[in-house]
Amino acid sequence: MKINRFAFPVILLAVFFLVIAVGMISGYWQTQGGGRRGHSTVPMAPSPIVLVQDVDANGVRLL
Amino acid sequence: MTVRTQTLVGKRSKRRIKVKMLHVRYAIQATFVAFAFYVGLQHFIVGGGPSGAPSLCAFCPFGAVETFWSWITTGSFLRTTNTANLVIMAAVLATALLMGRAFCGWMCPLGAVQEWIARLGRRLTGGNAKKRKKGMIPVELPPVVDKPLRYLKYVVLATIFWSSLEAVFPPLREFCPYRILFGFHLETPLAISVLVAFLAASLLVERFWCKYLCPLGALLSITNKIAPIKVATDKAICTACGRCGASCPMGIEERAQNITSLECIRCLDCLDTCARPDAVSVQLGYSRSG
Repeated sequence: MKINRFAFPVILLAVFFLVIAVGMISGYWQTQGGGRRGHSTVPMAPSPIVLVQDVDANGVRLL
Repeated sequence: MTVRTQTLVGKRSKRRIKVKMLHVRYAIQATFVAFAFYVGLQHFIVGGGPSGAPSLCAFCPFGAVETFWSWITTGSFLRTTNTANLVIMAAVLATALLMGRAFCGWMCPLGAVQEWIARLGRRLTGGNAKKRKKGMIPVELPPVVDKPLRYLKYVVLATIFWSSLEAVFPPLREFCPYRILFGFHLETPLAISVLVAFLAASLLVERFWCKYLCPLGALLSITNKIAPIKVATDKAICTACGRCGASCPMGIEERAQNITSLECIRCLDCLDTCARPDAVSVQLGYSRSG
């Protein structure tokens, strides 16, 4: 399906800023420098990916 | 010879206004360049830290790739990166899955600066984009050099990802022209050398960094094969005159026949250049391919 050439940048910007807005609303927009554990002054958002070794026998997250 | 343009006709006045995609693209690129300079300057003046301004690295989508391993294995980030990098990378990936490497062609501040430098070089050496007259610079490298060099960016991507496994700072940080140029990080001889090399290379070869070295471009290039919104060529109309290939900032040979090239940055310059109405168009889906 052919789409108007001027719709291209509109779609591009809309998708880009929509995802950023969702990220901001979700509380994932932190721009102050991070750092390895023990060095950072900014609270870190936990990773949504939980590895097997990161949880104890009851499924409680260790990190 | 004339350049084909989209024409808008006003209802009240019959005056015709010609709008080229190139102008729209330059306006968007200029906005992102201004934002990058603003962030870099603010950080340069105010400084970092909890009460300071965020660094430019915090707004870099590639920072997410560099900090990814640290994030999934330890839950913490490499220095100067944070969750904003992940959000920006998610936004860039969303656009890439839909439209391929459009981020490179429309939003990347580094790509914009390279294009403008090449344009300046073309003008200064007698070239004229409107008349499709080439200047002495930028030059196109011979295929025997160009083609192998295009794979270098994949090596850069793999090297940086491998380095990030044990890194504290993002591995590309000291060599990153984005950080050096927009963040005014000219403290070390290495940074000055990188900047001079970047500017000189951009003047001599259009989008040198994008073609041969950019690891983000390498990552996004894969999406060119699967993105549903793409530039398509109607073979029944196309005369294979080669205009689109000649105007392509990424130097894609036979652009019209090569619509899913990994190098295409979806800049749509080929639409502006094409002399045949509807020979090149933006398509959604996979039905009309060149």
